[in-house]
Amino acid sequence: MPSTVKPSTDESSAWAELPLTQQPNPEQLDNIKAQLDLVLLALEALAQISSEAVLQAAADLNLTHLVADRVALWRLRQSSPLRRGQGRKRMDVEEARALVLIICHLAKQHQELIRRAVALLEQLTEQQREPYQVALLGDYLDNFSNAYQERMEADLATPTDQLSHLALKLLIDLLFYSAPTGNRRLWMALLDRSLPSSSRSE
Amino acid sequence: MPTAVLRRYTPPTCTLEIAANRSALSRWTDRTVLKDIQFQLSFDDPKLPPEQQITVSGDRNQLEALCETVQTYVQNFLVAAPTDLSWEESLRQGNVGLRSAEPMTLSGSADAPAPAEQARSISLQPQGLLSHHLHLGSLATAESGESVQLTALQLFDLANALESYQAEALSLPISTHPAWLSRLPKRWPSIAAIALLALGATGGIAKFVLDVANPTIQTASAPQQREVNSELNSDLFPKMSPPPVEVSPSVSLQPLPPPPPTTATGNSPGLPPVGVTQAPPQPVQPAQPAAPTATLPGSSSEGGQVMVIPDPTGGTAVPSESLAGASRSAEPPRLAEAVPESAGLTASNATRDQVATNSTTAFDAIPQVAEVRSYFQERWQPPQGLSQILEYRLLLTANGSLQRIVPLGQASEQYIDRTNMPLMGEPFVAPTQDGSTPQIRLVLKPDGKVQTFLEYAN
Repeated sequence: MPSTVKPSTDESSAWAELPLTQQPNPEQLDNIKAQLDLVLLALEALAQISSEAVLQAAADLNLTHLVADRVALWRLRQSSPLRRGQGRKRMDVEEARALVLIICHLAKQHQELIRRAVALLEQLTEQQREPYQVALLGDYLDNFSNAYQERMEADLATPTDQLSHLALKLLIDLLFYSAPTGNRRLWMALLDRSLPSSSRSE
Repeated sequence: MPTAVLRRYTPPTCTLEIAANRSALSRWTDRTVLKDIQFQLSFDDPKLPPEQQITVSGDRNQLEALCETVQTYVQNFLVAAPTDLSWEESLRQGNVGLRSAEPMTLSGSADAPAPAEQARSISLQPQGLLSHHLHLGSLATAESGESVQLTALQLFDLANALESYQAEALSLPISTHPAWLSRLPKRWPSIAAIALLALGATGGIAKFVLDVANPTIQTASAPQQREVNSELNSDLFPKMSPPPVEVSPSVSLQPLPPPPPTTATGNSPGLPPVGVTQAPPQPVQPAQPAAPTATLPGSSSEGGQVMVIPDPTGGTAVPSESLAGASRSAEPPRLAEAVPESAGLTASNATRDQVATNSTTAFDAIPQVAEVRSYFQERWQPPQGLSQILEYRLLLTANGSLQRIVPLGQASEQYIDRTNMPLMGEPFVAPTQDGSTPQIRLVLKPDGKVQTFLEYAN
């Protein structure tokens, strides 16, 4: 019988940071899937995070029941409506939550790199130079654009500078997700962004 | 500036220092309860020349306003689409000095204040993707100017420092009422009983106690805290000059000088010393312990209502008070149980009978789920103006009392003292058949509805 001071498992306390009072409707869930795929894309582009790393993170966080293997992971990524195949695969809310925990765990692991990238971006901006001029950022932007164009629906063809803008925003978001409160920030951002704009909390 | 207790958060580009006084209520707990919180925030990014490194300070309300503003702003920033924020604007304006930016839709203050009020309120505005304008409002001084420019990294570090403070610090809600404190000597029993009931009802003490005893609970912050703990026994006096830049971006805590020699340490088992509080015994209150030691919690927890810091000497010596006598145990969990007994709030059998006859749902795998629901259904009165749903994780003991309350989400933390939570250790539902300790999710809705779900049967 657990004593009064038994700690809850890592998983349940992490779950506590991700409250969900209402199941998102299918549109909201679509939005969430798209966002998660993009955040993972950014992580891959910056830190060359492979499927193995994602699955390892799932194992470290005791989430293998939700993200068991490469096939499962592939399905979850493919569920994004932006993907070629228009997100025919499915993802449920619990899987989304698992991905949030995994993403923030990975972001934390690579916090130094993310921080360095943002610092470089700030420096270049101050100096009025293009981010491509620094290898770390140039590679990031190239990787992101290439992967995006390869994986996403063709008629979503986005001009490169818009993609760069998206990539940079995601980079800064990753910085915030790498903090101790990253889980909550990402989760709340996913939920908030998925709401119709009239009901967004300011 | 009060000097009894100090905390310090030192991410690479800013320093947040907190100071507070030890409240008289500390005598009733084995923790130090704080009041008169003051803070000092230095924007001391080493990349900035010294003259641009600004320091501001203020009281608890201003600190809370700053926390709220920054948190809301960060969240809004994350939600904003890339097209809402112009990167090119950052390119043009760079990061130098202050400028009057056009306010965009991401202002971080709660409502859009009128221009006259805007001067007083703390708010944030984005300037493109990488730059943020922090209006200091009432924190502004002649030296600091009206606002501060923050880079993304500086904003990140500021947000982390503020969130670390919030996670650890539970502020005493009645700290702004010194009048009754001065009458304390004559009315100790009743006032202390009321205060402890209030504290118990918020779940602040018990939650904090258990979190302190279990530093691994919050996984996200645990690694940082653990690495900090190893430093904390060393004798460091807090430096008032900007700290050295840390290689790792984690925030750290720096302890105060150790207290004067103590008679008995009587450490509660498993309480990691994280920081030290010290003040000479206040002359106003008699029966102060000879040399109180206090340690700050090692783990962060979700925020709560009460600022408490564990005091391993096991409370104060107030022998004539049965209340204090019961609470002087060094075992933290027993404190919570001792309180309701001494205060005369024994388990209400009547309550248990009432809940037994309520209807059940398909989720009521064990009877306690329905009983918890009934208990709250009778008592839940949504406060005026509450629009959010409040959720709590309740861990019950085998005898049907509350062992632990975990508020989920900020609104839940904020409104916990309006939820009529039963006191810790006071049975309010039937004891479990097999001695298990179930974990139940409680959902309180603004329309008055109450839901409960079994999370773990344990």
